[in-house]
Amino acid sequence: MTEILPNDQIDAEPTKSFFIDMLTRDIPLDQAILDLVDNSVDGAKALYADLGSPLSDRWIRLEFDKDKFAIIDNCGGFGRQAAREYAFRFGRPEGSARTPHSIGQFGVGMKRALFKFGRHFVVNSATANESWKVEVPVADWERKSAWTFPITALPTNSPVSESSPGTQIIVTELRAEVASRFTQSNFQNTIFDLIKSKHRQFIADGLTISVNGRHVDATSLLLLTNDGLRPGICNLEWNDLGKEKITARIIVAIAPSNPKQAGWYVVCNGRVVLEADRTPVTGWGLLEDSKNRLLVPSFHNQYARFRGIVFFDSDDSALVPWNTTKTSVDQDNKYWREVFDRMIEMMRPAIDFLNELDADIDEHSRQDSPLNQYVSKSASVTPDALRATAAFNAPSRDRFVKGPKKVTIQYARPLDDVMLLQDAFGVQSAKAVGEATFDTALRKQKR
Amino acid sequence: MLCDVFRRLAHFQPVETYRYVGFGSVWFSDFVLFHRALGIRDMLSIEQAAQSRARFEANKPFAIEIDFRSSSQALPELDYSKPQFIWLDYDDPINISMVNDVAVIARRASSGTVLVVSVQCVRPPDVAEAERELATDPHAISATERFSARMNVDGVIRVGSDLEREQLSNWAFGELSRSIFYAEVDRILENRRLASPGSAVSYRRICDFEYEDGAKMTTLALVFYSEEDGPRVEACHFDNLEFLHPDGDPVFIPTPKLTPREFRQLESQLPLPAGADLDIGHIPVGETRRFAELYRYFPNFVAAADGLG
Repeated sequence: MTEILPNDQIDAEPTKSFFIDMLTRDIPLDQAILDLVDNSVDGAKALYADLGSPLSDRWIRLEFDKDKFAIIDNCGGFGRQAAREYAFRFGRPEGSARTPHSIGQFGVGMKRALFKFGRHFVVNSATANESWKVEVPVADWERKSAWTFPITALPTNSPVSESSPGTQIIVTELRAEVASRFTQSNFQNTIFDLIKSKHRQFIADGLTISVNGRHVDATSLLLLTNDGLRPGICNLEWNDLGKEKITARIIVAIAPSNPKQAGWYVVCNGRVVLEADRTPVTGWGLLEDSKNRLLVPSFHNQYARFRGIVFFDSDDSALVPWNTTKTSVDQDNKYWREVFDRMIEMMRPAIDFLNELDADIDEHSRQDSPLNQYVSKSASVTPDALRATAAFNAPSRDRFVKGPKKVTIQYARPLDDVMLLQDAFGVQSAKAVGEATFDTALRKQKR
Repeated sequence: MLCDVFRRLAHFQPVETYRYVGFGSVWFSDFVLFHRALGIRDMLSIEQAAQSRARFEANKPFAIEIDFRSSSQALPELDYSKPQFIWLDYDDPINISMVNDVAVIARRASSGTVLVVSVQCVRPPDVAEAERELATDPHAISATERFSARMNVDGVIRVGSDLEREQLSNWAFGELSRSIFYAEVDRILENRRLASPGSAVSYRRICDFEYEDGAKMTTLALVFYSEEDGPRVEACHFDNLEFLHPDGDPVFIPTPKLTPREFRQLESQLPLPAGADLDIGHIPVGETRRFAELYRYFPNFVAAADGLG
């Protein structure tokens, strides 16, 4: 019932449906799912930190279709107190404890996802000591004026319990647009690939995640090293008064040529925030303000061997520079600003080397370029192995003994004539026809 | 087989009033078949090889309209207000412009429209490209990554990162190709349904085929229908087409290696009386597999050889 207000007061209390609409509007569906995975990952990380229980014992399973969304994990669950104080509160109360080194946003992520998906949700959770259930038919909840959720005992048939601690979330009465996306195999692929890339590090450490029965396997970024070709590594640390420590490790390296994987990766507390970024956010196409000339070129395929990785870590997740949806960096974060300048500094020698490599390929062809052959034969390492501060090093073109200076000839001739000569010379390509005809002409002329 | 499929669409409207849209090439064999067997009069061939227009015009057997543009230009301009049989009979392995062609049709198709898509499924060019580069660079991009990169554009992940190399060869590649086309139709129809529920259509898979026509090929056939036309789709009884597998697996059309005499010997016993076995004489068993079920559908060249024999 609406209270009668005095004449000089206006009732500005939001309706629940307006609130839900605002809460869920700006979160893309795929990110909402990742938020729930993040919460499970935090559980797994806490079990490791508190009890030394390895990530390889933990699993997270997602199932979704046109009728329901479900996520279940064995990542330790959370207690009634956490449920009452954070998990179901809108916004984190002042002074509340934070999970150290977390990636989830306990105050927002879960509820935002649940309301985003559908109109009925059940959360069952059990720790080793206690268990509980919250069931919310959203339409009923909207009609009631109280901002409360009932917390009840876990049903006996629940798959999570004090003997197998974890959390199970089931959302039904899905919103039409959500149900529609959940049925599409393209969307299922999107979630699969996002988890694979965003939770790369946890999966590599042994965490098992599956999406609709498909097991997400680990992939590692591969970087190349050789005698003379070494990644640049920079370690930074800040200990601001009254704050937790925050560290950053920056790696710049040459890697297998792959335009889709090239670029910068930013990892905050193990969660990948930016991947293969080739935009001005990570410095590509950056202008030097005073002279209006390019400090770093815009990305081009000749930089397909560039990889840059930044690892931020802090027990206080509010310090690491991610934006609220964890889809990019917070460019105003002061630690990011400092790291950004270092990134630019570190990428320049790598860019210079890749320009040299490109020139060598132009002169000799990709296959015959001595520099490209050298790089291709390098051994691969994972970023995990690269810890100690080191300067980027790459060989110069002069190091490789070269034959006489070469030049590339390019011309066009009618296809039928080229095919005729291809047949006559018994070669397989137009390029080979060009070389064969050149060699024939040269033999006649050169003494 | 497609004739048998098309014939059942009479539950939507008389088959001869449908429009047939195909890629006629200079042979127009599909046009000849559908004109003769189904009486379709309104026909359009999309043919990009514009440099020999005169040859196409000279070879067309009936008053067939020819659109000398690429399918990506021609398909959006079809008249989607009337039902059509559209057969995208590509010679190549799946690529993104084919997926876009299918999307163009799914975005516009009216109830009763049939879409048939054929692609080659030996292997995509990515396999050879990767092998060539891996010979000199052990870290070169793999075939599966190359294929995914070509398919996953415009923010749509058509191929998951758990794609395996084996899925890029032969019938497994055919299955992958079909699933990409079906997923695209799903995606587009869902978008349509959300934006304008009133004019939304669904689709029913009619049948998938696998056959060897020089190279391994696969074909899928589906029909778009509105909710209100649901009973008409049921009335078409696609599920009891005699060549279909009861479990929904693709229909494999073998290409028997038979002499004209052997072909006649087998054919003379058909259709078989219930319970009777085909007398195969000296013909190897492998060449007569599924002959009794599929003899009506063998590729034309078998019948042509018979005619010449």
